[in-house]
Amino acid sequence: MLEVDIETCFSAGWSDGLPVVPPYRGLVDRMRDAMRWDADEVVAQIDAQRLHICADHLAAAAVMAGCLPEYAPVLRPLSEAMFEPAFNLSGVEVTTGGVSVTVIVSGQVVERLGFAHGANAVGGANTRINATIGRYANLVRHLCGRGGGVLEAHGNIGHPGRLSFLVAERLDRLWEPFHTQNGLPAEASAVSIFSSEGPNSVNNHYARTADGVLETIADCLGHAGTTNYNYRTGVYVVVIGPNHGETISQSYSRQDLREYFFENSRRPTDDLIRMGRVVPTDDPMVAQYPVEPGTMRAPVTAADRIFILESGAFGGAFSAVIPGWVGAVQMITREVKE
Amino acid sequence: MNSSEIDRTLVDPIPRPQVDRIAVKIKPQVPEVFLLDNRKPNSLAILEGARDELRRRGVKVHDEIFRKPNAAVAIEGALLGQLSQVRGLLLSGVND
Repeated sequence: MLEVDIETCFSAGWSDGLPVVPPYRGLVDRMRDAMRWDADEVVAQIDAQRLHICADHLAAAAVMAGCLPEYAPVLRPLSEAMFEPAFNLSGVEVTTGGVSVTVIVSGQVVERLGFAHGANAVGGANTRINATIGRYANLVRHLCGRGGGVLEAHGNIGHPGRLSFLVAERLDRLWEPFHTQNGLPAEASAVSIFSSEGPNSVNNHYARTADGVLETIADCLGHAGTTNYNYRTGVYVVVIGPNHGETISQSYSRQDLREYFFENSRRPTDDLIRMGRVVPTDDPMVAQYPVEPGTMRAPVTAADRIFILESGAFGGAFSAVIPGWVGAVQMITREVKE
Repeated sequence: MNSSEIDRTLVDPIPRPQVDRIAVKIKPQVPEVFLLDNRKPNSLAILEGARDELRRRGVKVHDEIFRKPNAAVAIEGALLGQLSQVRGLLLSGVND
């Protein structure tokens, strides 16, 4: 009986806190076939934990999240990206930072599969494909990132995106597709992942030129509490809403934006030291970007660590900043092949 | 697909570690505490405080506090070998 099986999944720990579709063998086989993996195929490994991730584990997670087999062209490259060592999947699961797997979909696949990219695009679009693929990514994090059950999640605060966090890029873009910032051609479709904290909304309704909007976004990007001031190893995504985009694009290219945010999100290192946000230390993770009194400190080390994404709806003047987690040091992009 | 016809066996979605059998010694062989700093923020300061407090209570604590080279990397190599030789109670897990 379905309700009994749903409760069985809860009691077995096969849940992110919400009810799941029970991973019945018949549904898992169908999903695995759609993802074009063989039965018993080992898809990935986490060597430090001696874990082999098999096709069935991932197909089961996709079923549980509520995905349809039609989503497989996105699910497969997304899965491969999540097990890239640079993504540090177990770290994403267990860190005190309480971060999510954050998924970005760009290119023609957005239209072909029907991703929402307008109203509430950064979260809460109430669209199945956004919600379930975002849930799949974070369910895999939860099910596969704990060393088979020997590790625990230690997020001190966390954020709602740990249940599902997927943003699709608008089709009527002002600049080239998102994935071209990570080396893929404009005509490709792509799925990208990074690990992030919760998004910060940025409101500016009265600036009539780009500079006021950009100054507001840069202030959000460089707020004193952003985790990256210490280790400086995360990446950021700035989601430009379409109203702000119309204003900004009159005078700035996308590359201009990245450089602007890098140059203008800095704070005096002395202020950060005074607040206790950073300390001069021999910690090798900090020492690679030493804390130097008397200088200005940006939360990232280069303009290309800030990615621009066009998403959201017209009607108000909002953008958003999504701060990356310091332990997943790259934006990872994979082509979606259909 | 006719839902009444599908195989309803539940598939375990959690990968399990493939490890050899290991031996775990629960009881310390010598009455001495050893401390391991995992390099998270404030870890060393907390351990130094713990060392002082344990000593104040008459517990023997090893002078050297072992230190992971990097908070983000698993312990391995020489440090792992050194820790495996500890015969007292090894305390780690101090978080930020």
